[in-house]
Amino acid sequence: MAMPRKGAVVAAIKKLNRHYGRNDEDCFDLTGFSKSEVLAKTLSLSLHALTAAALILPGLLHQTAQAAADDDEIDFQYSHYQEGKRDQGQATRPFNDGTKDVNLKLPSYRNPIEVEGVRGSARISLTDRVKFAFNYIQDTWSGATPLATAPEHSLKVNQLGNDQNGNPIIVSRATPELTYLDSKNRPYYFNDQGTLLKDKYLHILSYASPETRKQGDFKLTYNWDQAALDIGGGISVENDYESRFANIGGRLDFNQKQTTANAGVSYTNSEINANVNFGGIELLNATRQDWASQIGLTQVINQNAILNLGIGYTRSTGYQANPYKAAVFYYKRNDPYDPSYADYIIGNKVRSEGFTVLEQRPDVRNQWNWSLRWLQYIKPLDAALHFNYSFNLDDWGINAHTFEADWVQPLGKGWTITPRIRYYSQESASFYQPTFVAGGKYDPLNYPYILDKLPNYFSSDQRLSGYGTLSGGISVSKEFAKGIRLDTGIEYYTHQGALKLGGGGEADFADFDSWVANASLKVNLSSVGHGLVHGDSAHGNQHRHPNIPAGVLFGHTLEKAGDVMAGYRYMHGWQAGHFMQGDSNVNEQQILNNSCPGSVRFDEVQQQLYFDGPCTSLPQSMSMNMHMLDLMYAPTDWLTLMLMPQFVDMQMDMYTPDSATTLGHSSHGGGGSHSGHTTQSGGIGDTGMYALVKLFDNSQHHVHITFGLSAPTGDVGIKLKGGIEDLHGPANVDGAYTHYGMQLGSGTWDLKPSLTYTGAFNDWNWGAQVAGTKRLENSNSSGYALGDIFETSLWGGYDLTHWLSTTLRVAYSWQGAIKNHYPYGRKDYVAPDCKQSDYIRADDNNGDGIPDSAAYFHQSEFSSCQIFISTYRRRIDSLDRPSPMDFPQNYGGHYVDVGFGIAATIPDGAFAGHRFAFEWLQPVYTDVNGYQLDRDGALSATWSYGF
Amino acid sequence: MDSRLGCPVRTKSDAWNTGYLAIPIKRRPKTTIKTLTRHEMRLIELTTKVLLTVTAIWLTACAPVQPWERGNLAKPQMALDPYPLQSALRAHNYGSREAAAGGNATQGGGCGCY
Repeated sequence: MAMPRKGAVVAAIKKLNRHYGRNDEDCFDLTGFSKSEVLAKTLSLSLHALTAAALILPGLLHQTAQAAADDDEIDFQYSHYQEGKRDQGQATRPFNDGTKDVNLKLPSYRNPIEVEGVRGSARISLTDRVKFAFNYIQDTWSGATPLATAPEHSLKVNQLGNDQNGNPIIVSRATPELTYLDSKNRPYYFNDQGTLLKDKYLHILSYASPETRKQGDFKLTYNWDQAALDIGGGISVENDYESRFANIGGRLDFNQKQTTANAGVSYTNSEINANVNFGGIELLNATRQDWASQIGLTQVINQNAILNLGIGYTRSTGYQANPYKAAVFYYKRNDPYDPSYADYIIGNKVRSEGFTVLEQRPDVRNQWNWSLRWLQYIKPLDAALHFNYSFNLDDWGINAHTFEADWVQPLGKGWTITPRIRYYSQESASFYQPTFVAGGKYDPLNYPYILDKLPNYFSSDQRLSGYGTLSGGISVSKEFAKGIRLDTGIEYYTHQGALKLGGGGEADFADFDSWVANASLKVNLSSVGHGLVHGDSAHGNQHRHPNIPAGVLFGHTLEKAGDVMAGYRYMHGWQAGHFMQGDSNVNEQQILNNSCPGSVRFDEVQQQLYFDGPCTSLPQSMSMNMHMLDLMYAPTDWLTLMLMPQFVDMQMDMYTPDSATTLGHSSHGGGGSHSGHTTQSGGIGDTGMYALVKLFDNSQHHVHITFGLSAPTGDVGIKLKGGIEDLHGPANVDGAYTHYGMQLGSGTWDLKPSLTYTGAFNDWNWGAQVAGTKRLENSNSSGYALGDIFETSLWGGYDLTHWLSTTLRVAYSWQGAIKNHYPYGRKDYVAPDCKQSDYIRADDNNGDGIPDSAAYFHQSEFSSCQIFISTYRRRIDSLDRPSPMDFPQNYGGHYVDVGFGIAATIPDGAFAGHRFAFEWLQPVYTDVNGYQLDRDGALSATWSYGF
Repeated sequence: MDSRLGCPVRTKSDAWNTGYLAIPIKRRPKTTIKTLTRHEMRLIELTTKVLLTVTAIWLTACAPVQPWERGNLAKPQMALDPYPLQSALRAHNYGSREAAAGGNATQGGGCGCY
């Protein structure tokens, strides 16, 4: 089938050809390129915004065929995905004198992939028949992921230096070079003794900076007595990939509800904007469409068994490749006209040279899926066995089987334990190979070969290889009183070529394992709501929820022993104002020149490095989102305990001012991802534990003191993608630490005391609070500590109606600058040390080989080595800190804000008893430490529900 | 499936012998090159099997299970998906790791980012 080539790859090839003045052809013509040019051009994948290939259909097809007896519910879920470290294998380094190659074990510097995910969902009955469900999902991931596959010994390494123990620090370059291929295209390499040995494949890994995906979706369902119809839609957004989707589904019960049929259709439209920086392409724009349909049938078999059958069909069109995955091609130098022919043929092995091309997949994929699910009630144990089997088939040649079994075992007292096991096996796609061979002919006029056209489709993505996976896990669930359920789960997953059904899977270089842990809290509003609606008058509710502005934490205690309250708190902060120094605005030039002390500057005239240079990138805007859960419980009337887990994410847009490029560096700043880019981070933040003690409480006045401790559960070791310009950007070391403000927590144990007073009279209420944060340590695991905080607030409020109230607040806060700093000089990326022993030698001034003196220590040479190394390190360090936010002194300050708040306690209807409060905090006075971006304001929103 | 329900005895193995399944489905000799023809063949084969299984099971389910006999079926552990949130998360993780999981990963969206 002659399918047209993918536009982007064609464009890259054409651009390469044009760049070298060749014909505008779409074949990959190496004519006229020197080998080093080809290698340099082929692959320098920028993985700043790496996205993986396997696209998940956001179809949201209707899967639950059973009659929806779903109660109104609010859920929160947190999950952590963690992959095991992958073997980096060995790589070849040319021996110092160039006579032979040395094979070295590559250390595993890079952090494996990890993902922090959070999800909040609500399912609410709008009327008896209409239900509305909403989901918000957010995940942030980072880590090392394979970008291509190559024979292990074809990867060359650079030695960066020595570590503290004197061992060499080596990293592999991303570009594969030579290998020897036999008649079946299996790779070979020369060992240290000059013998050809069979080589094995290896993934070339690359580290990616954190990246966040956010998804919001909804579903609206109308229920009849024996049928339901739902429509839904949503959007998923990340830097380089945006999907919008819509779906419609229906359910029909018949045969006295013993049989349920369901069907659904979904459509997804995705847009890819990937920054690939490959062979002349900088931005890859593409679209993709997915149509998915599914029909299902659920049948009550007998009093103890249910059968569910499903058939699905999915058609995907458009760009389905992964823009960050490449395939390595080799061309064999076995043309008899090649003058080097004799040297390049060793037995049946042929010297072959490699180059790298973006992977290319077909534009169309049709997938079919059949599934069978059997649910068996096991009476003696009151348990249920769930067995699933599904078969997938597509026209890429990937057939897959999935077997899954769960045993749901209730244990009494609200406990349920569910062990599960899953096995999955797939065949490889017809266009998958770990590496490829391109045909070619020697051309005496051109160097060295003219290559044949590459195949239409090729991919070395391990997800398209043949393999099996085995996973097992356990879920533990506890139903507390009042409709609150906590679910936790953990699962271990192993991917192995050897696990493929029937054998013949990919070799073990592609194997990896991972685990996922998750916890979710479910609040069943239908159960908890009853007690509240019947047991409490509206007045009672109000007393439980005093009118506290949404931005004030620890504003109230619970009323009496046994009370429970669940709340959700959201805060969004914007910074996109002017640059400030102290309390006044400064211009861009001032902040560039003054806010990054110690930055490197190269003086063209004197050809000398100075450390008085400017910043090389500046922040344009920063936004922060915090999602917090308020879980409160009163063991006694006077004490309220509170647990506050947090999930935070941040985004900073950076730019490189024109003036910065002319002043200092010839190109962008060090981290590789700092400039002209968006930096993201996200994950679980610090976790607060609080005890609120009532000091005084009568009908008008209330005083309580809060003792709090914040545990450093937020990550403070987040790094950006590696790659330092002047060292040829090795792709496999982690980069510099991200900006201090982008780390997810403080990294230190913090004490958080506060004192709160609230008062109320008729429709008026007021309050005041002083609060502090004292860091209990001087530095965290990344070497620094955030400044202490002092905050005070004064507010007044008025109840407009019995359910709606407003507040006005004045807040002053102070935060100290950051103490200490990230370690200077990258631990895994240092210059060679100066060893005293290297400088103890005898002089031989006339060069006759006979020493003129006894051996002695050459102090001055040793000193200049030390100066050179320290300069080198300062330079690296300066490149790692290109912007004002990389300097501890540019954090903290004095702030005065005015807050405008509104709060509603819903009196009746679907949300009866829920309290929603919002507050906008408007900055009125700012006096920053050092140089910072001015604040634009902050929004706080809370939802709380007591029962 | 279960003769106690008063249906004519019709076990799964009977169903397989109803004659419909006697459609001769020739397996093509195994070749290393995958072709669409082979997929189509397998597709037809599978669809047939699935449809016949459905029919067979439908027939066995002729004895009604009365609503008051469905107590066990109504228990939470017998829900089609007792942990929908966890299932969605797992489907998302499988979907980003496995080529075929897209077909049954019905929740989540965007790219499988890891």
